Amino acid sequence: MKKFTYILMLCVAALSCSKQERIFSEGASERIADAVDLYKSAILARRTWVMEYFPDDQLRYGGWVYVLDFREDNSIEAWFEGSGFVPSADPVTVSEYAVEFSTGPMLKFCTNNDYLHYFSFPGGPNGGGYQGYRGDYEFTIMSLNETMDEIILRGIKTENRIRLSPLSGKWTPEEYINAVKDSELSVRRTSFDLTLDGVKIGVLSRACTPVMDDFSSFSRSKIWTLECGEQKQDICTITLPDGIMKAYEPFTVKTPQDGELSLQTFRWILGETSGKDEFVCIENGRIELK
Amino acid sequence: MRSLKIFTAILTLSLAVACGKEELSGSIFQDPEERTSEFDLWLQRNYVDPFNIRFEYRMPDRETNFSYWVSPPNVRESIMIAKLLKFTTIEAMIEMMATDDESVDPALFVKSYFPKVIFLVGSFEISNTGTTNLASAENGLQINILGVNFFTVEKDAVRIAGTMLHEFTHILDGIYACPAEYKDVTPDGYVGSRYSTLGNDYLQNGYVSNYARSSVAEDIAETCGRLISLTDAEWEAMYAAAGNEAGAKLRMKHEIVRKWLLDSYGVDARKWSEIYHRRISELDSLDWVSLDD
Repeated sequence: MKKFTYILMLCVAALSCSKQERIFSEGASERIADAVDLYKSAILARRTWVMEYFPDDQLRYGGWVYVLDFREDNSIEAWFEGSGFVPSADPVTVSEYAVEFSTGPMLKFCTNNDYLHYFSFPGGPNGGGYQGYRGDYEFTIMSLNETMDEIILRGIKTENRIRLSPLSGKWTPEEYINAVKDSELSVRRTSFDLTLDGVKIGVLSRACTPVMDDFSSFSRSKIWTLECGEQKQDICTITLPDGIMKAYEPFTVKTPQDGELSLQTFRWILGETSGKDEFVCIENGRIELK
Repeated sequence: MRSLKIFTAILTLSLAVACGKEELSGSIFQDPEERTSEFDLWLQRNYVDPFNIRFEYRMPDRETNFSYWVSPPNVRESIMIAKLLKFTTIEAMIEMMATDDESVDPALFVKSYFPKVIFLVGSFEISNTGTTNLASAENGLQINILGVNFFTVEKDAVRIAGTMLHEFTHILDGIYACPAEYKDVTPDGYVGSRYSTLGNDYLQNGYVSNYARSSVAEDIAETCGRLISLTDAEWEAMYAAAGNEAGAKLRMKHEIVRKWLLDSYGVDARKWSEIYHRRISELDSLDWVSLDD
């Protein structure tokens, strides 16, 4: 019995020494530091980014375009398509950002910027009420693609998906924002027939056209209501240069013959006369908004 | 047999000890990247080095109250508030505790009791019923100053200096509690969150404000804050407006708080009040922008 006990003790001691394979070659802290360094260096490498920003978890205020200039000293300058309705006569547009680890790798806009915090500021002259417009200013960095030209963020309160892409060299920040506004202003209609192969299958409408210095009408112009048979839903959109209108996420329409079609992005095409201007769906050219 | 026992024991011990060492990486809880703006260096010289106080103006959302939607402060107004608190609160307390005895550190009161974190929020905390928090204190360690982006010297400097006195009282009350007899002065008048629906007869009920009626703790903070921020003449006017019975209750609360400060903290409230008022009157001469000092 004693011998058995000794042998058992030796086995336990020996087994406790068995070498464990490590899943990661580096410890957690090194991996965190590496990730933060990677994201920060990626942001600074491209420096000027376009942010497609969606406030409010219920997407009631539309999507908004910012151009962001990230600098080495942690300062950031912002340009905003909604600058016309920001109430301050001398807005703060240069503030501080941070890329750091908190509940994951995060991008934070950590001091006030009258453009970047327009949607998050409650009870201010922006008229946003006690929750502001439910905008985020701290984001979890969800992904960076291999070519380092797309960063996907997620707002920590709304969990909305926010996309960063580098500003093309053909634009200055001001030119890009103006091109977005031009796209907005070129569409003066509030209702379109949704057609498949030229046949009307539904209607897409909105409350009003954008007014650049009025947040209420500007934001409502970004929310379209889709009515297609029994289907009725609100579509939250963002506008980009070159007449692009993009929904926050793909949506489907039911068609008599083809079942469901997935749509997200439309391009504004000028016709022979303004009455023939129309949106063409980029994902499915058979779908038009006339 | 005995040698086998010894051999087995030694071998077991050696194997066990040999297994104990493992290379550990650093902590995953890392301080945010060190940033040194001109304002950070000023804070280091005026808050961190002398008093070990962190003045947090890059509002990490996780440290805010998640019941509210809030937004970060402007740097410009953060600088102004840092200067305001230093002049009207911290330096006033040091001046108040100064004696002829050079062996006593007059900053000891600040170093010992003043909260170690001042946390700035650009917006106010607004509830769905519209009530607005101007400031708050947390666990004796942190004072939150809200609405920083609305700050103007003319409109808000005195209010924020007074609010600091209120919030600091919560901290002091949490360390050495105000005597229990305080709550017996007006025991039946505390109404919780309904205070905002009451009329303006708080003086006639023995309170210095409607907010003081929300709880005993707020009553103590409101009374103590006014003990410093109001003049004797203003207190006398309050007693007179309250009437004989309620005025006597206000005098009782005033005296309990004054004695509590003296007995628990060695604080001469009258001296503090005089210094406070003199400094408030000198606010016009304060340089609100320069970070050279």
